[in-house]
Amino acid sequence: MWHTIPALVFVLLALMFFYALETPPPSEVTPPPIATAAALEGAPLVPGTPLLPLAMIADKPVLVNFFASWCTPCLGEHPLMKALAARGDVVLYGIGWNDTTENITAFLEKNGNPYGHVILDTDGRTAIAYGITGVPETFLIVHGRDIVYHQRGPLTEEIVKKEILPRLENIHE
Amino acid sequence: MSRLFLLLGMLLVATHSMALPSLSPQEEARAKTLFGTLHCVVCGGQSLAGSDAQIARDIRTLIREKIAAGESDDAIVSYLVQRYGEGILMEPPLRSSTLPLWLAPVGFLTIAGVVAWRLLFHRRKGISA
Repeated sequence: MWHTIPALVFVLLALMFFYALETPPPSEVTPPPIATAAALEGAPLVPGTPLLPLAMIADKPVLVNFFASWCTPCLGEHPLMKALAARGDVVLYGIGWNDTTENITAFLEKNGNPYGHVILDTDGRTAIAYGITGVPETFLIVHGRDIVYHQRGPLTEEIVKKEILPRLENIHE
Repeated sequence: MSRLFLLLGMLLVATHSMALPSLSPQEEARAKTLFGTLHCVVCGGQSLAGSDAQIARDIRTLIREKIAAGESDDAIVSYLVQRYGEGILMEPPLRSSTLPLWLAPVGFLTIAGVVAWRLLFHRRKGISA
């Protein structure tokens, strides 16, 4: 009888961990409301692209994509960004993190620029305001302030199909 | 050559002082305490204090700036918790939902103790019998 207790505890713990892994934390589903518009307004921008506070384009959903020219997964998701931009029903903000104006400009010249607005987050303030931990990370924002989806890591075709497009279509209905 | 080093040194001092707001010793102590109570968001169990990751450096600078701007420790912590969740706290807050986290070590130790005691006791009884 006493020999079985450690085994029972192990099974119980395994079940608990499995449950915790399978249940997404609430913050992943509905990120806390944060002052996105203000955070973007203060950031310097890559020359040649106009900067608008998110609130000014409240009539269109906004996809905020944190990226860097040195980030390989960012390059991987870049074609998906271009495809989303081509839809015309969502405005893309590209926020360059831990990078330089020259490198970001070169990256976008080489790979194409899907972003309506490109911002360089020189001091990491915008990144912290959004609670990002690295690049790439993407936020779908509606009404100029509400985050309806947050992706840590690169977008994939499956994520776009399952998470982004249905939300875009919901907004337009 | 020595002029070049002097210039480089001055540049280093200049960029360093630009990045970090000057804090009083008390404020610096508050900053250090906060760094010790918060996780580096990308480095597992490491605290903000010991991390060299870019995001950790940025958060440290932000905390220093917020202290210099007169924000309270609670306000700074809640700003970060709002964005990164409670996972950023080195110690999870004691609440009904986090109670298992706090009680589990005691529970497991008790179970392990009881099991070990029973096994040893039975073995000894078996040997002496």
